Amino acid sequence: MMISVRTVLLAAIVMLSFRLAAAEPVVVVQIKADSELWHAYAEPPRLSQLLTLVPQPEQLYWPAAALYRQSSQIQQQQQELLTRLQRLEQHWQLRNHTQNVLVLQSLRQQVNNWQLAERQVVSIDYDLARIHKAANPRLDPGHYILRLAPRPDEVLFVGAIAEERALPHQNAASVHAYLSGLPALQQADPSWLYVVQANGHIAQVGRGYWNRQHQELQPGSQVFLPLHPRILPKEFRSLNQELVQLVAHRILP
Amino acid sequence: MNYCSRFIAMIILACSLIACSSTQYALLDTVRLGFSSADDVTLTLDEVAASEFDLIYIQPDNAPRASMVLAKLEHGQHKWLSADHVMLVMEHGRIVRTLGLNNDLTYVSNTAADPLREKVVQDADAKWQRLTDWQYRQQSGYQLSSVFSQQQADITVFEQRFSTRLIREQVTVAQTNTTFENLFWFDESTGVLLQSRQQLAPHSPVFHITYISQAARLITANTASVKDSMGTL
Repeated sequence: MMISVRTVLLAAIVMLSFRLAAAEPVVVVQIKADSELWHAYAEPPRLSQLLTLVPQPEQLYWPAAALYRQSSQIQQQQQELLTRLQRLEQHWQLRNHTQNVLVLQSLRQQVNNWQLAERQVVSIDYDLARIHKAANPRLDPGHYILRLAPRPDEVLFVGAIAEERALPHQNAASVHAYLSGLPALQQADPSWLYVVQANGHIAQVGRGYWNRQHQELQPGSQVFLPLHPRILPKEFRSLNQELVQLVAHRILP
Repeated sequence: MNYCSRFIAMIILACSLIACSSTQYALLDTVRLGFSSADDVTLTLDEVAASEFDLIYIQPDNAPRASMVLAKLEHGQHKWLSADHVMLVMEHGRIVRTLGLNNDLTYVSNTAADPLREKVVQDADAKWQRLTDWQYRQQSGYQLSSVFSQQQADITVFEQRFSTRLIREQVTVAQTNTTFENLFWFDESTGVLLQSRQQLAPHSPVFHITYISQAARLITANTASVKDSMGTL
């Protein structure tokens, strides 16, 4: 009896190791934390399995934790937007409008530098994933990037601005408190801006004297300053929307 | 074939056992106590002393008393879970993160400098500053400053009187200039935290917490030592 069980056990181990050797990883995860870790899975793992690999979870700032999936679709969107920005730039070049051309050149350079992948719509939280099944999804096959860091100390301003600008995060301050720290924003929409919170939540926030809303920024957030509507001919009306969607998929450096 | 199926059954059994020991959350299905219970939860000293897992009582203002179970103790943090899956993460008895409340505390900075870690106010000018972040409307960077004082106080847990060091913490929120008070009762002779009254922010619910497993251990140990001394008499 004992021998038979042992034989079966040995056979199982051999079979198992054979399977492991033969299997192609279906999920590959690159964990970008303090140091970089790579993990390959033969079976799609659950989120909590990834998070248990993180060395010092208590030091991480979960609201800014993000999971991205590599996607050619996002790269394609980026290329299409770059082409559209170039066409718009030509439009204003023909009309000799230097200010508009300059802001569009800046925007094109910003978009070109963005590292992008599909941000997954799930709260990344070590504890939440272990309490709630809904917060612990099984990953679809693919190549993922898990970005984790301690509480960031900056927020990033992008869009209709001479160049991307990082400003120190201000305690309990509305987004409007930061704007005076930026260069002139003549080409930006004076009525609205978009906040892409560190947790991925996007909010359109009024910034005119008539529609100003209090909106604080999570550390590690991005603020997208949309192009002034007068810069956008009819066929470019959706450009700001398309750009802010891309901002949300950005993997911050 | 017979061995094979038996082997598979063993594997399944082994896996289920691993799953149980690696996560204690399954326990909650058997501990039918919740944050959202309709009546006060009451446990006897014997029940608490016999519990495999540590328990606390928690009573928010104007709400029934509930109990929570220690689901994890990791990285210096006690993670208490209610049956309805609210989690309170504590460091040295202080709540530093919440999951599942209507406005969660997502972050507290500078917890390493919390004077509570010493369990005693050695310096009359003890101060502590930290930043707090909140989930609701992504409110971030609320600066809380505390000053501490200490006095003697008696409390009763499981009908047992404890002489305690009561640490009073006066908290001021810099941005709103509002204040509130947190209280922590440490057993005088052992320094074990027995009770606290904590608020996460002004106007947020007050939590009255009793660390019942800690109290039960002290009572049981005392009873044992009394028995010992009686044996030597």
